[in-house]
Amino acid sequence: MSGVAVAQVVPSEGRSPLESEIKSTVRATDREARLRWMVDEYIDFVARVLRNAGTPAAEVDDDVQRTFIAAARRLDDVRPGAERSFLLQTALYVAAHARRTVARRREVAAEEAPEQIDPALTPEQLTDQKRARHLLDRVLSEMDGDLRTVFALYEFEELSMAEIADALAIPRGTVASRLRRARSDFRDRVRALGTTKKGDLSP
Amino acid sequence: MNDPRRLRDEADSTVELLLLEAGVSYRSSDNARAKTLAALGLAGSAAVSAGALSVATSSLLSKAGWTKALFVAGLGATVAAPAGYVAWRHAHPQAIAVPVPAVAPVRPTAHPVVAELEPVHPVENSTPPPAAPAPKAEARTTAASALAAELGALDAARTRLSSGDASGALAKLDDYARAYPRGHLVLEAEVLRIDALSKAGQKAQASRRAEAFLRRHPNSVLATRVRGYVD
Repeated sequence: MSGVAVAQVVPSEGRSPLESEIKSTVRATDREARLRWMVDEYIDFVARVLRNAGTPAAEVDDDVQRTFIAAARRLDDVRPGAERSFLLQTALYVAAHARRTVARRREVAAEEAPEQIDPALTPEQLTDQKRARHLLDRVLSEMDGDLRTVFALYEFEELSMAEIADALAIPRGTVASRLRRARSDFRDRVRALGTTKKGDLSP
Repeated sequence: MNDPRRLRDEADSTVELLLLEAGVSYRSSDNARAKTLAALGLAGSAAVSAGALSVATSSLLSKAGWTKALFVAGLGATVAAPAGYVAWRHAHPQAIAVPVPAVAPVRPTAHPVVAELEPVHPVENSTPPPAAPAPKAEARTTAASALAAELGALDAARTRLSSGDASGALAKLDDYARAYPRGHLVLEAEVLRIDALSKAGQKAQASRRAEAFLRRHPNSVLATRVRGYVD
């Protein structure tokens, strides 16, 4: 929309101050619209990537903010159509950064945010879902970080191995190797849950 | 080299399936959406409502037998997006300054494959609603409406500020503080107040509040922006 508007309103160089202002306003509006679309379209994706990459529940909201603020700052560098890829890479970076920043833990430790839960569930089912998330967190936290990342992108985001290789800038053979090891490791850990005492599985 | 089937398609136990589904079904909170929109200076009423009403589902959840698919369509009226954010954001490029993106990996032209992906769960938005909303969904809608109203109140202040009316913005922020003393967006409101104070010529007070903000929230997403107001 704005591209056409710009072409019509500002046809050439030597613009007047008013024309420049109009063009700037149109660009800003276009940018806002794109950014808003990215939030609407990908905020669940970003939250899920962050959470499954190891971001504690209490920190997901802030890191969602961080990811999109980063996107806003670099929006002009993001090729149209590559928004999801950019958000994925940024979210992974934010998650890794958060894990390294011990200081942040202190601020959020006292206020544990609730997990996001499907509102359609019954109380009994809610308990099951919370427990499943708790167990998943435990399993994922025990996995090697590189394996975990590939596992989450393949199994939860359903990216292809080629897409993961591209996103992580690693050879596809490495992705395949990590995925194979990650799946084996995940299954072993899940099977081990079955041998854990019942009380140990409670959230 | 063919990609293997997803583990969920060949889960060897219910526990495994439930855990995998827990990873897939996670989604953002309404609070995160509101805070993100506020931090970005985007008008967000409609988006918050839309997000709250977009109830995720999954055939695998049904397969697991511990939930059912639920869609809520056409609930509630979304509010037209306020316009004040655009001009304000245009005049505040520093508003989105955070330490992360300086080294965040950006390869805008190097990921055509990933970029061409369909949305994660395209079926979620195209399937007709099979069931009526549950009470919890209604409660969630109410909460989302409250968030949208709160965001709208903040936007009223931002609109004043973007039009050069710093005093009017401060008055609107006072209104916001009275209406939402324990609001979800109090940090965003405080940053907006610091900005308004600075623009109203009360730079010393803006600096004091900025310092206080940084003492209380040194690792806030908004800290980078607030530092710019400290003398």
